[in-house]
Amino acid sequence: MPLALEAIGGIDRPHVPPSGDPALSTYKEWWHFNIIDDAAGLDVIVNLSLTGDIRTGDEGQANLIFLSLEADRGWRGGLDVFDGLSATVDERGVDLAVGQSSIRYSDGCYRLWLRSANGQLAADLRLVPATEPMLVWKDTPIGSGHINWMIVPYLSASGWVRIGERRVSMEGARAYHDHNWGHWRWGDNFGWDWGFCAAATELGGEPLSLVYDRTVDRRGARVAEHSLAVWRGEQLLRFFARQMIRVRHSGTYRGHVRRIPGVSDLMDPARVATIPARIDLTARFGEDLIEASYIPDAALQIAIPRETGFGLVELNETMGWLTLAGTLAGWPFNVTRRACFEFVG
Amino acid sequence: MTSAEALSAALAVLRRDELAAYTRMTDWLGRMTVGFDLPEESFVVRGGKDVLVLPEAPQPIEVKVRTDRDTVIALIDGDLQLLEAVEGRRLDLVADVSLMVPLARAARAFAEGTARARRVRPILEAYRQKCREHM
Repeated sequence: MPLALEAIGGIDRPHVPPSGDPALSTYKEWWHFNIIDDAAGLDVIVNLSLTGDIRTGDEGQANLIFLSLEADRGWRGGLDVFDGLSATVDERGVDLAVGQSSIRYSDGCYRLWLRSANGQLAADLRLVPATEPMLVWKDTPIGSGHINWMIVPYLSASGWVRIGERRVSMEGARAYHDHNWGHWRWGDNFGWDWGFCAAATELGGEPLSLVYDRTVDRRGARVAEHSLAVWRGEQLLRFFARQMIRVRHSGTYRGHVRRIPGVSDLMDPARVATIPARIDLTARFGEDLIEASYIPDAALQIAIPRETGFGLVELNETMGWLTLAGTLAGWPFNVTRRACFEFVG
Repeated sequence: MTSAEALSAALAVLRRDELAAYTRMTDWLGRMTVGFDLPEESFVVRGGKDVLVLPEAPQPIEVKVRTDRDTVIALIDGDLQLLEAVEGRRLDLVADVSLMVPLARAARAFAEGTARARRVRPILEAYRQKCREHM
Protein backbone atom coordinates (compact mmCIF):
# COMPACT_ATOMS: atom_id res chain seq x y z
CA MET A 1 0.00 0.00 0.00
CA PRO A 2 1.47 3.42 -0.95
CA LEU A 3 2.48 5.50 2.07
CA ALA A 4 0.00 8.33 1.43
CA LEU A 5 -2.97 5.93 1.44
CA GLU A 6 -1.72 4.37 4.65
CA ALA A 7 -1.60 7.83 6.23
CA ILE A 8 -5.19 8.77 5.34
CA GLY A 9 -6.49 7.63 8.71
CA GLY A 10 -4.30 10.24 10.41
CA ILE A 11 -4.77 13.00 7.83
CA ASP A 12 -8.55 12.60 8.02
CA ARG A 13 -8.72 12.83 11.82
CA PRO A 14 -11.20 15.16 13.57
CA HIS A 15 -10.24 18.71 14.56
CA VAL A 16 -12.55 19.17 17.57
CA PRO A 17 -11.43 22.28 19.50
CA PRO A 18 -10.39 21.73 23.12
CA SER A 19 -12.81 22.49 25.96
CA GLY A 20 -12.75 26.18 26.81
CA ASP A 21 -11.72 27.25 23.29
CA PRO A 22 -13.37 30.68 22.85
CA ALA A 23 -14.27 29.78 19.26
CA LEU A 24 -16.10 26.55 20.17
CA SER A 25 -19.51 27.95 19.25
CA THR A 26 -18.49 28.47 15.60
CA TYR A 27 -16.74 25.11 15.16
CA LYS A 28 -17.98 23.01 12.24
CA GLU A 29 -16.67 19.81 10.71
CA TRP A 30 -17.99 17.09 8.42
CA TRP A 31 -17.03 13.91 6.63
CA HIS A 32 -18.78 13.70 3.29
CA PHE A 33 -19.11 10.76 0.90
CA ASN A 34 -20.75 10.37 -2.51
CA ILE A 35 -21.20 6.98 -4.13
CA ILE A 36 -22.25 6.67 -7.76
CA ASP A 37 -23.22 3.15 -8.77
CA ASP A 38 -23.54 3.41 -12.55
CA ALA A 39 -24.64 -0.23 -12.90
CA ALA A 40 -27.61 0.09 -10.53
CA GLY A 41 -28.42 3.73 -11.39
CA LEU A 42 -28.06 4.61 -7.71
CA ASP A 43 -26.49 7.72 -6.17
CA VAL A 44 -25.82 7.90 -2.43
CA ILE A 45 -24.89 10.93 -0.31
CA VAL A 46 -23.59 10.55 3.24
CA ASN A 47 -22.54 13.43 5.48
CA LEU A 48 -21.72 13.16 9.16
CA SER A 49 -21.25 16.57 10.73
CA LEU A 50 -20.30 18.00 14.11
CA THR A 51 -21.03 21.58 15.21
CA GLY A 52 -20.48 23.65 18.34
CA ASP A 53 -19.46 22.16 21.68
CA ILE A 54 -20.16 18.47 21.20
CA ARG A 55 -19.13 17.77 24.80
CA THR A 56 -22.43 19.29 25.92
CA GLY A 57 -26.01 18.24 25.35
CA ASP A 58 -27.38 21.61 24.27
CA GLU A 59 -24.48 23.59 22.79
CA GLY A 60 -23.33 21.02 20.24
CA GLN A 61 -24.91 18.94 17.56
CA ALA A 62 -24.14 15.85 15.48
CA ASN A 63 -26.05 15.37 12.24
CA LEU A 64 -26.24 12.56 9.74
CA ILE A 65 -27.45 13.20 6.21
CA PHE A 66 -28.09 9.91 4.43
CA LEU A 67 -29.75 10.08 1.01
CA SER A 68 -30.31 7.84 -1.96
CA LEU A 69 -31.36 8.87 -5.44
CA GLU A 70 -32.72 6.65 -8.20
CA ALA A 71 -34.01 7.98 -11.51
CA ASP A 72 -37.42 6.30 -11.22
CA ARG A 73 -37.87 6.57 -7.45
CA GLY A 74 -36.36 9.95 -6.60
CA TRP A 75 -34.73 10.91 -3.32
CA ARG A 76 -35.11 8.82 -0.18
CA GLY A 77 -33.70 9.43 3.29
CA GLY A 78 -33.03 12.70 4.99
CA LEU A 79 -31.42 14.42 7.94
CA ASP A 80 -31.14 12.89 11.43
CA VAL A 81 -30.29 15.38 14.18
CA PHE A 82 -28.61 14.38 17.46
CA ASP A 83 -27.24 16.37 20.36
CA GLY A 84 -23.47 16.64 20.68
CA LEU A 85 -23.22 14.08 23.45
CA SER A 86 -24.67 11.43 21.12
CA ALA A 87 -21.53 11.50 18.98
CA THR A 88 -18.56 9.24 19.68
CA VAL A 89 -15.39 10.77 18.25
CA ASP A 90 -11.89 9.31 18.45
CA GLU A 91 -9.64 12.33 17.93
CA ARG A 92 -6.66 10.18 16.84
CA GLY A 93 -8.17 8.88 13.62
CA VAL A 94 -11.37 8.30 11.69
CA ASP A 95 -13.63 6.50 14.16
CA LEU A 96 -16.94 8.30 14.42
CA ALA A 97 -20.35 7.12 15.52
CA VAL A 98 -23.71 8.80 15.91
CA GLY A 99 -27.07 7.11 16.45
CA GLN A 100 -26.82 3.65 14.90
CA SER A 101 -24.31 4.77 12.27
CA SER A 102 -20.53 4.80 12.17
CA ILE A 103 -17.68 5.81 9.88
CA ARG A 104 -14.26 4.25 10.38
CA TYR A 105 -10.96 4.07 8.52
CA SER A 106 -8.64 1.14 9.06
CA ASP A 107 -6.54 -1.27 6.99
CA GLY A 108 -6.61 1.07 4.00
CA CYS A 109 -10.37 1.47 3.66
CA TYR A 110 -13.34 3.42 4.97
CA ARG A 111 -16.15 1.40 6.47
CA LEU A 112 -19.55 3.08 6.45
CA TRP A 113 -22.18 1.39 8.59
CA LEU A 114 -25.32 3.49 8.25
CA ARG A 115 -28.88 3.36 9.56
CA SER A 116 -31.35 6.23 9.12
CA ALA A 117 -33.34 6.94 12.29
CA ASN A 118 -36.66 6.06 10.63
CA GLY A 119 -35.26 2.79 9.24
CA GLN A 120 -35.92 3.85 5.64
CA LEU A 121 -32.25 3.54 4.56
CA ALA A 122 -29.36 1.36 5.65
CA ALA A 123 -25.94 0.57 4.21
CA ASP A 124 -22.78 -1.38 4.82
CA LEU A 125 -20.07 -0.08 2.50
CA ARG A 126 -16.30 -0.47 2.09
CA LEU A 127 -14.60 2.42 0.31
CA VAL A 128 -11.02 1.86 -0.81
CA PRO A 129 -9.10 5.03 -1.77
CA ALA A 130 -7.76 4.80 -5.31
CA THR A 131 -5.97 8.17 -5.29
CA GLU A 132 -3.70 10.05 -2.97
CA PRO A 133 -5.55 12.58 -0.81
CA MET A 134 -5.18 16.32 -1.28
CA LEU A 135 -5.04 18.58 1.74
CA VAL A 136 -6.02 22.26 1.51
CA TRP A 137 -5.15 23.32 5.06
CA LYS A 138 -4.64 27.06 4.71
CA ASP A 139 -7.66 28.51 6.53
CA THR A 140 -9.43 29.68 3.38
CA PRO A 141 -11.54 32.69 4.49
CA ILE A 142 -15.34 32.32 4.33
CA GLY A 143 -17.29 35.22 5.79
CA SER A 144 -15.91 36.01 9.23
CA GLY A 145 -14.37 32.55 9.56
CA HIS A 146 -12.28 30.01 7.69
CA ILE A 147 -12.50 26.51 6.26
CA ASN A 148 -10.06 23.67 5.52
CA TRP A 149 -10.46 20.75 3.16
CA MET A 150 -9.16 17.24 2.69
CA ILE A 151 -10.15 15.41 -0.49
CA VAL A 152 -9.99 11.82 -1.69
CA PRO A 153 -11.33 12.24 -5.24
CA TYR A 154 -11.79 8.59 -6.15
CA LEU A 155 -12.54 5.55 -4.03
CA SER A 156 -13.86 2.18 -5.07
CA ALA A 157 -17.07 1.29 -3.17
CA SER A 158 -18.42 -2.19 -2.47
CA GLY A 159 -21.16 -3.49 -0.23
CA TRP A 160 -24.90 -2.90 -0.09
CA VAL A 161 -27.51 -0.22 0.40
CA ARG A 162 -31.04 -1.01 1.61
CA ILE A 163 -33.74 1.35 0.40
CA GLY A 164 -37.02 0.52 2.14
CA GLU A 165 -37.27 -3.25 1.64
CA ARG A 166 -34.96 -3.39 -1.40
CA ARG A 167 -31.30 -4.24 -1.06
CA VAL A 168 -28.91 -3.00 -3.77
CA SER A 169 -25.49 -4.65 -3.90
CA MET A 170 -22.56 -2.86 -5.45
CA GLU A 171 -19.01 -3.78 -6.44
CA GLY A 172 -16.48 -1.21 -7.61
CA ALA A 173 -18.86 1.76 -7.64
CA ARG A 174 -17.27 5.20 -8.06
CA ALA A 175 -17.03 7.16 -4.82
CA TYR A 176 -15.70 10.50 -3.55
CA HIS A 177 -14.81 11.66 -0.06
CA ASP A 178 -14.02 15.00 1.48
CA HIS A 179 -13.61 16.35 4.97
CA ASN A 180 -14.11 20.01 5.84
CA TRP A 181 -13.42 21.71 9.12
CA GLY A 182 -13.05 25.20 10.51
CA HIS A 183 -14.98 28.01 12.13
CA TRP A 184 -17.69 30.08 10.45
CA ARG A 185 -21.27 31.24 10.83
CA TRP A 186 -23.96 30.11 8.40
CA GLY A 187 -25.37 33.29 6.93
CA ASP A 188 -22.06 35.12 6.73
CA ASN A 189 -21.22 36.65 3.37
CA PHE A 190 -19.98 33.59 1.48
CA GLY A 191 -21.05 30.85 -0.87
CA TRP A 192 -19.39 28.16 -2.93
CA ASP A 193 -19.71 25.88 -5.93
CA TRP A 194 -18.13 22.48 -5.65
CA GLY A 195 -18.24 19.42 -7.85
CA PHE A 196 -16.51 16.18 -8.68
CA CYS A 197 -16.38 13.41 -11.21
CA ALA A 198 -14.58 10.29 -9.97
CA ALA A 199 -13.05 8.00 -12.59
CA ALA A 200 -14.61 10.03 -15.37
CA THR A 201 -12.64 8.17 -18.03
CA GLU A 202 -9.28 6.50 -18.53
CA LEU A 203 -6.18 8.40 -19.54
CA GLY A 204 -3.37 6.16 -20.73
CA GLY A 205 -4.95 3.23 -18.90
CA GLU A 206 -5.39 5.10 -15.60
CA PRO A 207 -8.63 6.61 -14.20
CA LEU A 208 -9.07 10.37 -14.54
CA SER A 209 -10.79 12.11 -11.60
CA LEU A 210 -11.68 15.77 -11.17
CA VAL A 211 -12.63 18.07 -8.30
CA TYR A 212 -13.85 21.63 -8.88
CA ASP A 213 -14.12 24.36 -6.25
CA ARG A 214 -15.09 28.03 -6.30
CA THR A 215 -15.46 29.90 -3.01
CA VAL A 216 -17.14 33.28 -3.37
CA ASP A 217 -19.06 35.97 -1.54
CA ARG A 218 -22.86 35.59 -1.49
CA ARG A 219 -23.34 37.52 -4.72
CA GLY A 220 -20.61 35.51 -6.42
CA ALA A 221 -18.69 38.70 -7.24
CA ARG A 222 -15.54 38.23 -5.10
CA VAL A 223 -13.69 34.95 -5.57
CA ALA A 224 -11.65 33.69 -2.60
CA GLU A 225 -10.61 30.41 -4.19
CA HIS A 226 -11.12 28.87 -7.62
CA SER A 227 -9.52 25.63 -8.73
CA LEU A 228 -9.86 22.47 -10.77
CA ALA A 229 -7.73 19.57 -9.59
CA VAL A 230 -7.21 16.56 -11.86
CA TRP A 231 -5.85 13.17 -10.84
CA ARG A 232 -4.59 10.40 -13.13
CA GLY A 233 -4.44 7.11 -11.28
CA GLU A 234 -3.20 7.71 -7.75
CA GLN A 235 -1.37 10.95 -8.50
CA LEU A 236 -2.41 14.58 -8.90
CA LEU A 237 -1.78 15.28 -12.59
CA ARG A 238 -2.69 18.95 -12.92
CA PHE A 239 -3.92 21.74 -10.65
CA PHE A 240 -5.62 24.52 -12.57
CA ALA A 241 -5.57 27.72 -10.53
CA ARG A 242 -8.06 30.57 -10.81
CA GLN A 243 -6.35 32.45 -13.65
CA MET A 244 -6.49 29.29 -15.78
CA ILE A 245 -10.25 28.73 -15.38
CA ARG A 246 -13.31 30.30 -16.96
CA VAL A 247 -16.77 29.33 -15.76
CA ARG A 248 -20.27 30.33 -16.81
CA HIS A 249 -23.59 29.50 -15.16
CA SER A 250 -26.69 29.65 -17.33
CA GLY A 251 -30.42 29.22 -16.83
CA THR A 252 -32.28 28.01 -13.74
CA TYR A 253 -32.91 24.38 -12.87
CA ARG A 254 -36.68 23.81 -13.24
CA GLY A 255 -37.10 20.34 -11.76
CA HIS A 256 -38.66 19.67 -8.37
CA VAL A 257 -36.26 20.40 -5.51
CA ARG A 258 -36.99 18.51 -2.31
CA ARG A 259 -35.92 20.41 0.82
CA ILE A 260 -34.65 19.04 4.11
CA PRO A 261 -35.55 19.55 6.84
CA GLY A 262 -39.13 19.64 5.60
CA VAL A 263 -40.04 22.56 7.84
CA SER A 264 -37.93 24.76 5.50
CA ASP A 265 -40.93 24.92 3.18
CA LEU A 266 -42.95 26.58 5.95
CA MET A 267 -40.14 29.07 6.58
CA ASP A 268 -39.63 29.91 2.93
CA PRO A 269 -42.29 28.51 0.62
CA ALA A 270 -40.78 30.09 -2.51
CA ARG A 271 -39.59 27.83 -5.32
CA VAL A 272 -35.84 27.11 -5.23
CA ALA A 273 -34.26 29.32 -7.89
CA THR A 274 -30.58 29.19 -6.98
CA ILE A 275 -29.53 26.16 -9.02
CA PRO A 276 -28.22 26.76 -12.55
CA ALA A 277 -29.56 24.70 -15.44
CA ARG A 278 -26.04 24.36 -16.82
CA ILE A 279 -22.41 25.16 -16.08
CA ASP A 280 -19.74 25.52 -18.74
CA LEU A 281 -16.14 25.45 -17.67
CA THR A 282 -12.85 25.82 -19.52
CA ALA A 283 -9.46 25.18 -17.89
CA ARG A 284 -6.25 25.74 -19.79
CA PHE A 285 -2.54 25.60 -18.98
CA GLY A 286 -0.01 25.27 -21.79
CA GLU A 287 -1.08 22.34 -23.96
CA ASP A 288 -3.46 21.01 -21.30
CA LEU A 289 -7.10 21.86 -21.96
CA ILE A 290 -10.38 20.77 -20.38
CA GLU A 291 -13.74 21.88 -21.69
CA ALA A 292 -16.59 20.73 -19.49
CA SER A 293 -20.34 21.20 -19.26
CA TYR A 294 -22.53 20.00 -16.40
CA ILE A 295 -26.32 19.61 -16.60
CA PRO A 296 -28.10 18.60 -13.37
CA ASP A 297 -31.03 16.19 -13.58
CA ALA A 298 -31.87 15.95 -9.85
CA ALA A 299 -31.57 18.37 -6.97
CA LEU A 300 -32.18 18.50 -3.25
CA GLN A 301 -31.75 21.42 -0.89
CA ILE A 302 -30.38 21.18 2.63
CA ALA A 303 -31.60 24.33 4.35
CA ILE A 304 -29.71 25.57 7.39
CA PRO A 305 -31.06 28.42 9.55
CA ARG A 306 -28.78 31.44 9.37
CA GLU A 307 -26.71 32.11 12.46
CA THR A 308 -26.66 35.81 11.61
CA GLY A 309 -30.40 36.55 11.56
CA PHE A 310 -33.61 35.10 10.14
CA GLY A 311 -33.72 33.07 6.95
CA LEU A 312 -31.98 30.06 5.50
CA VAL A 313 -28.63 29.19 3.96
CA GLU A 314 -29.22 26.97 0.94
CA LEU A 315 -26.97 23.99 0.29
CA ASN A 316 -28.14 22.73 -3.09
CA GLU A 317 -26.99 19.20 -3.87
CA THR A 318 -27.34 18.19 -7.51
CA MET A 319 -26.61 15.06 -9.50
CA GLY A 320 -26.28 15.18 -13.27
CA TRP A 321 -24.14 14.60 -16.31
CA LEU A 322 -20.70 16.04 -16.93
CA THR A 323 -19.38 16.13 -20.49
CA LEU A 324 -15.61 16.45 -20.70
CA ALA A 325 -13.41 16.98 -23.73
CA GLY A 326 -9.82 18.07 -24.18
CA THR A 327 -6.23 16.95 -23.84
CA LEU A 328 -4.12 16.29 -20.76
CA ALA A 329 -0.42 15.40 -20.87
CA GLY A 330 -0.87 14.60 -24.56
CA TRP A 331 -3.84 12.24 -24.04
CA PRO A 332 -7.11 13.30 -25.69
CA PHE A 333 -10.45 12.49 -24.06
CA ASN A 334 -14.14 12.98 -24.73
CA VAL A 335 -16.65 11.47 -22.33
CA THR A 336 -19.98 12.01 -20.53
CA ARG A 337 -20.23 10.68 -16.96
CA ARG A 338 -22.50 11.00 -13.95
CA ALA A 339 -21.20 13.63 -11.54
CA CYS A 340 -22.21 15.78 -8.58
CA PHE A 341 -22.17 19.54 -8.04
CA GLU A 342 -23.16 21.54 -4.97
CA PHE A 343 -24.17 25.21 -4.94
CA VAL A 344 -24.14 27.05 -1.62
CA GLY A 345 -25.29 30.59 -0.96
CA MET B 1 -49.90 14.42 23.41
CA THR B 2 -52.73 16.40 21.83
CA SER B 3 -52.17 19.03 19.14
CA ALA B 4 -53.01 21.75 21.67
CA GLU B 5 -50.49 20.37 24.17
CA ALA B 6 -47.78 20.09 21.49
CA LEU B 7 -48.39 23.65 20.29
CA SER B 8 -48.47 25.02 23.82
CA ALA B 9 -45.19 23.25 24.71
CA ALA B 10 -43.52 24.46 21.49
CA LEU B 11 -44.59 28.05 22.20
CA ALA B 12 -43.12 27.85 25.71
CA VAL B 13 -39.78 26.63 24.27
CA LEU B 14 -39.84 29.38 21.67
CA ARG B 15 -40.46 32.07 24.28
CA ARG B 16 -37.53 30.79 26.33
CA ASP B 17 -34.98 29.79 23.65
CA GLU B 18 -35.81 31.78 20.50
CA LEU B 19 -37.10 35.10 21.76
CA ALA B 20 -36.44 36.96 18.49
CA ALA B 21 -38.65 34.58 16.51
CA TYR B 22 -41.25 34.53 19.30
CA THR B 23 -41.40 38.34 19.38
CA ARG B 24 -41.69 38.55 15.62
CA MET B 25 -44.53 36.01 15.77
CA THR B 26 -46.42 37.92 18.48
CA ASP B 27 -45.96 41.17 16.52
CA TRP B 28 -47.60 39.69 13.43
CA LEU B 29 -50.28 37.82 15.35
CA GLY B 30 -51.34 40.93 17.26
CA ARG B 31 -54.58 40.24 19.16
CA MET B 32 -55.79 37.75 16.55
CA THR B 33 -57.80 34.72 17.68
CA VAL B 34 -57.33 31.56 15.62
CA GLY B 35 -59.59 28.56 16.07
CA PHE B 36 -58.29 25.08 15.23
CA ASP B 37 -60.70 22.29 14.44
CA LEU B 38 -59.22 18.77 14.22
CA PRO B 39 -61.18 15.49 14.29
CA GLU B 40 -59.94 14.74 17.81
CA GLU B 41 -59.99 18.19 19.38
CA SER B 42 -60.75 21.87 19.02
CA PHE B 43 -58.77 24.70 20.55
CA VAL B 44 -57.99 28.35 20.15
CA VAL B 45 -54.74 30.30 19.83
CA ARG B 46 -55.01 33.85 21.11
CA GLY B 47 -52.39 36.46 20.23
CA GLY B 48 -51.10 39.08 22.63
CA LYS B 49 -47.91 39.79 24.56
CA ASP B 50 -47.94 36.07 25.23
CA VAL B 51 -49.54 33.67 22.79
CA LEU B 52 -51.97 31.40 24.61
CA VAL B 53 -53.46 28.06 23.66
CA LEU B 54 -56.96 27.84 25.14
CA PRO B 55 -59.68 25.19 25.03
CA GLU B 56 -62.36 27.77 24.23
CA ALA B 57 -62.47 31.18 22.61
CA PRO B 58 -62.77 34.10 25.05
CA GLN B 59 -63.66 36.36 22.12
CA PRO B 60 -64.93 35.95 18.54
CA ILE B 61 -62.72 33.71 16.37
CA GLU B 62 -61.30 35.67 13.43
CA VAL B 63 -59.48 32.80 11.70
CA LYS B 64 -60.75 29.24 11.43
CA VAL B 65 -58.38 26.39 10.56
CA ARG B 66 -59.70 22.90 9.87
CA THR B 67 -57.19 20.12 9.37
CA ASP B 68 -55.98 16.84 10.89
CA ARG B 69 -52.83 15.62 12.62
CA ASP B 70 -51.49 13.67 9.61
CA THR B 71 -51.61 16.86 7.55
CA VAL B 72 -49.80 18.80 10.28
CA ILE B 73 -47.03 16.17 10.37
CA ALA B 74 -46.83 16.08 6.55
CA LEU B 75 -46.41 19.87 6.48
CA ILE B 76 -43.68 19.79 9.15
CA ASP B 77 -41.86 16.96 7.34
CA GLY B 78 -42.05 18.73 3.97
CA ASP B 79 -44.08 15.88 2.45
CA LEU B 80 -46.83 18.37 1.70
CA GLN B 81 -46.73 22.06 0.82
CA LEU B 82 -49.19 24.50 2.34
CA LEU B 83 -50.76 25.28 -1.02
CA GLU B 84 -51.07 21.56 -1.81
CA ALA B 85 -52.77 21.02 1.55
CA VAL B 86 -55.32 23.77 0.81
CA GLU B 87 -55.91 22.65 -2.77
CA GLY B 88 -56.20 19.02 -1.64
CA ARG B 89 -58.86 20.00 0.95
CA ARG B 90 -56.64 18.73 3.74
CA LEU B 91 -56.47 22.18 5.30
CA ASP B 92 -59.22 24.80 5.22
CA LEU B 93 -58.48 28.36 6.19
CA VAL B 94 -61.35 30.79 6.67
CA ALA B 95 -60.57 34.42 7.46
CA ASP B 96 -60.88 37.94 6.19
CA VAL B 97 -58.37 38.37 3.41
CA SER B 98 -56.71 41.27 5.29
CA LEU B 99 -55.61 38.81 7.99
CA MET B 100 -53.90 36.39 5.60
CA VAL B 101 -50.60 38.24 5.31
CA PRO B 102 -50.06 38.82 9.07
CA LEU B 103 -51.18 35.24 9.73
CA ALA B 104 -48.70 33.85 7.16
CA ARG B 105 -45.88 35.96 8.61
CA ALA B 106 -46.69 34.87 12.15
CA ALA B 107 -46.68 31.22 11.01
CA ARG B 108 -43.36 31.78 9.27
CA ALA B 109 -41.82 33.29 12.41
CA PHE B 110 -43.11 30.31 14.40
CA ALA B 111 -41.45 27.92 11.87
CA GLU B 112 -38.20 29.98 12.04
CA GLY B 113 -38.12 29.61 15.80
CA THR B 114 -39.05 25.94 15.99
CA ALA B 115 -36.49 25.01 13.32
CA ARG B 116 -33.76 26.55 15.50
CA ALA B 117 -34.96 25.47 18.96
CA ARG B 118 -33.48 22.10 19.89
CA ARG B 119 -35.96 21.59 22.72
CA VAL B 120 -38.80 21.50 20.20
CA ARG B 121 -37.51 18.20 18.74
CA PRO B 122 -38.65 15.93 21.61
CA ILE B 123 -42.05 17.66 21.56
CA LEU B 124 -42.39 16.95 17.84
CA GLU B 125 -41.27 13.36 18.37
CA ALA B 126 -43.85 12.83 21.13
CA TYR B 127 -46.55 14.35 18.91
CA ARG B 128 -45.46 12.21 15.96
CA GLN B 129 -45.58 9.11 18.19
CA LYS B 130 -49.12 9.95 19.22
CA CYS B 131 -50.10 10.29 15.56
CA ARG B 132 -48.62 6.85 14.79
CA GLU B 133 -50.61 5.29 17.63
CA HIS B 134 -53.82 6.63 16.12
CA MET B 135 -53.07 5.35 12.60
